[in-house]
Amino acid sequence: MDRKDDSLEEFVHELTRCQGDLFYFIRALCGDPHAAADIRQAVNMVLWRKREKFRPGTSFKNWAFRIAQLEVMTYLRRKKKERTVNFDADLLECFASEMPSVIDELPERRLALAECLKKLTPKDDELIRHHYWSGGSLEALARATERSVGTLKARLFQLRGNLRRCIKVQLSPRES
Amino acid sequence: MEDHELNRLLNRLIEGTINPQDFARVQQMMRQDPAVRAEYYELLGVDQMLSERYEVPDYISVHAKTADDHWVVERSHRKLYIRSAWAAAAVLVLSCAGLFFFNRGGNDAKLVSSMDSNYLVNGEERAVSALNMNEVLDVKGGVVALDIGPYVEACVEGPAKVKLLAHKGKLELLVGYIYLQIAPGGRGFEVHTPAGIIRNIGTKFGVSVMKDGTVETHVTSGIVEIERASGEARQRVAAGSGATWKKTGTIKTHRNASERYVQSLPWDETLYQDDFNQPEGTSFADKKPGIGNPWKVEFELNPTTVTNGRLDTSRGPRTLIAKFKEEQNSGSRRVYMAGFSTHVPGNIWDKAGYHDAAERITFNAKGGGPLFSLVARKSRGHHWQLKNERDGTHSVGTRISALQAHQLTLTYDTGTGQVNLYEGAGTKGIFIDQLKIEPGLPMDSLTISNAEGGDVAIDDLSIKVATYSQNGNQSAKD
Repeated sequence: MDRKDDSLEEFVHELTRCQGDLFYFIRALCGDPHAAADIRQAVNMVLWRKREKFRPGTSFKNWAFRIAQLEVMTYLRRKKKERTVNFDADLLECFASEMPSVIDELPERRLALAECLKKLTPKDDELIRHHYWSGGSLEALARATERSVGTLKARLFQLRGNLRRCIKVQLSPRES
Repeated sequence: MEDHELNRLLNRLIEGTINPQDFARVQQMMRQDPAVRAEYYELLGVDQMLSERYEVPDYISVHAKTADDHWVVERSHRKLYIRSAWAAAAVLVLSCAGLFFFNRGGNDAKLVSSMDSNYLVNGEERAVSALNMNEVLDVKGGVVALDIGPYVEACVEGPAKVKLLAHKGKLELLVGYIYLQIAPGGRGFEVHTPAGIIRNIGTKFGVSVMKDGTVETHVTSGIVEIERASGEARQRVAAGSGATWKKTGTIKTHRNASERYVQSLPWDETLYQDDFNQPEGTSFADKKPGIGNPWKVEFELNPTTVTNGRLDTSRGPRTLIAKFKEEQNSGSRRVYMAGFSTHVPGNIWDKAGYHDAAERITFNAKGGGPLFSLVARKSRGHHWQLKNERDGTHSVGTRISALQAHQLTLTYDTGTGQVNLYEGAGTKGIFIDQLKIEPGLPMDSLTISNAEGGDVAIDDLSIKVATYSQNGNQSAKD
């Protein structure tokens, strides 16, 4: 295999590996999971087109985030009239500079989350699983458990908040 | 604000159900309080991790809905993340490979566009490699070439609108200029216009439809036949001649002027490219770009060096010149396209104190000094504006700040003197500003400068040129 093939292989490897982080980054900037999926696709195409500019050994993720930031800004500007949620440019800049270090902590956060999920009651565990399994709908669970969708939604919000705090405690036990 | 209230609002934000009033409150809090931003990132992270953990991807969910809930979820816990990543990569690689290998058959017309083109298909901005029957191609600028079956090549110059009426043998020109080259097997190909049908009898010819409904054809070789209305006698136009007509009145014949039509895609060439991927601290004095001549430092108070993989003018006034690769001399029409991204410069915090600060990218005519500039001044909030350096006139200006991250594309058409500015990569970005300057002047360099405390950080700088073999409909306007 020659050097060009090696570079392409490394490029595909890096591109594959950063998909989750890239989605998280884009989602934080645009504040919309559906738009984030479209933007990530556009970013992937730009990365592929510019693949020859990627220098093995440099940070692929930083490069991808830089391109993603520009794509998000272009997208938001294009969709400005259609969207009610649009972070202003200064805040986007701020997110873009702060998010990479948050994303770097994701592996530790995944481990911490696994520990925190063990502490959930069976009912709360069922609510979380159902919500993510069904792609966001809580109607079936509301019917099955004779609770209102509003009640379940409020509990889900609390649970996310609790899990966030639990992860924080797991990652800095001394501070807690 | 109470913790639980902030938690509720942030949850609504990440679910996409927040109302505009609450969003404004959250945004305000985020601006002021890093802890609120941190909570947003963390909560979003929890949602993201739970999605990775429990969400079943589309490609297995159809089967899984009927299977035992726990078995599917348990199995997906272990392998989902790996599968999602590989699936994403597989989709990406297959899509890219598809672009190269699989877009060659099955469509009614293959579509290739020039670097400076901008077009819509059925009113939507889509990057396509084919046009199908009944789809309307609206070329806003540049040139789009269509291969319609094995015998017909059509070159559409923007602004123009065409529609494929049949899989192979018919095309409708609604407005604009089109040039067709038809091999012998394509005899009988029809161009429909508002004032009748032009039928090919083995030839090369141009057709134009004006906004007032006037139709013209100019025949380079072979013969075309004009059928204005059913039952009306058909009129033939032979090589070297042209004809002009409307729905009614006489069909006037005249000399062929097929140089008014762009007959092939323009030739693209990169004249300058620098991604500034050199080690931190590399001096710009004689620094070699990827393509083009080494950078020249005309003025600096302290050394200009590569900073964070960019050209950042922070820490003092500077004037740097990028001289493009030599172009062949010719009077042909050219469209220059400059692309670059801006980023927050290192010295961002001092900008409030400099009232005459300015950032500037000047494009220079070959041997003729400054032609036009992209200027951002403190007095206009550092927003980019175009300036004609020959007469000092300015464009309306943009709301795009030179001090923030943006991708910009700028074009200069030597045929018309039109300078256009787009936000985004290429002319398919958002059109944001324009200026008319002197036409016919090739460019050979650009100058990046800052003054009075202004600063700009630039990355991925490229200059390309599309050289047209004919001036096209621009010559008709002049």
